[in-house]
Amino acid sequence: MTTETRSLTMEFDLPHAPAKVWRALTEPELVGKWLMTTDMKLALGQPFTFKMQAQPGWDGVVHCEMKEIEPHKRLRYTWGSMGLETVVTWTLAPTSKGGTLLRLEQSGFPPRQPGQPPFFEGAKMGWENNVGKRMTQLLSELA
Amino acid sequence: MHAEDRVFRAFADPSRRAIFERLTHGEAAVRDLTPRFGISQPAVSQHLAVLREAGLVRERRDGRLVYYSVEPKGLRPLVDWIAHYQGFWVDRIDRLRALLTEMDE
Repeated sequence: MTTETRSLTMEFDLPHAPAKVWRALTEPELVGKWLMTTDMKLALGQPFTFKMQAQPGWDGVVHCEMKEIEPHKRLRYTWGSMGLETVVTWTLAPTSKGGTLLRLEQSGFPPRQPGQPPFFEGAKMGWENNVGKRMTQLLSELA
Repeated sequence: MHAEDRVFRAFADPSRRAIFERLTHGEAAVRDLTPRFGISQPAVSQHLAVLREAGLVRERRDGRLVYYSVEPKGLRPLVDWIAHYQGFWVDRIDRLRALLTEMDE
């Protein structure tokens, strides 16, 4: 079995200056408006949480620890949720138009098991249609 | 055995899939499940034990009866985490964009 992990990278072109985007990423009142309620503090090694309403199979809490703070440039924290710990890194780069290229990397996803389907689908498991639907619904409740 | 293997093994059997599917609609005791599937009570209990060992089903005791229900966490090995978070972040970044625009006002 391989120990290699997988990561997710996304980039967003925002028409707002890095200083402003930085505030939205780091000021708890602002973070709470778009991501989740948080008690984040800009201090290395500081544990903090993100919270949202609990859902079936999930208590609604993300446990984090601040790992890297480079104002207006880079923010990195661990992201522990639903028994899986990953690392979230935000990178901000100014664009020529005065905006920000915001890059999000989430790393440390478990490797896919050999023989495991790429995504759970009832049909692949040989389930009847309605079973697949119920399962998909249950999986989405985990989200 | 890995968690994934236990889950796939548990779901490999059509009777266990049917029992699990029934439990997604609400908790049930063995006696509720037996007439429905046309298999013996010990066979149903055996299937429930396999589902429970795979972490897919939990039990609740009420006097002499044991009620079984779905454990949603048990499906985690089947979750494609990257696809899950991709959808999550796209949704959140939309909200971030809206907030950034509001901050201008």
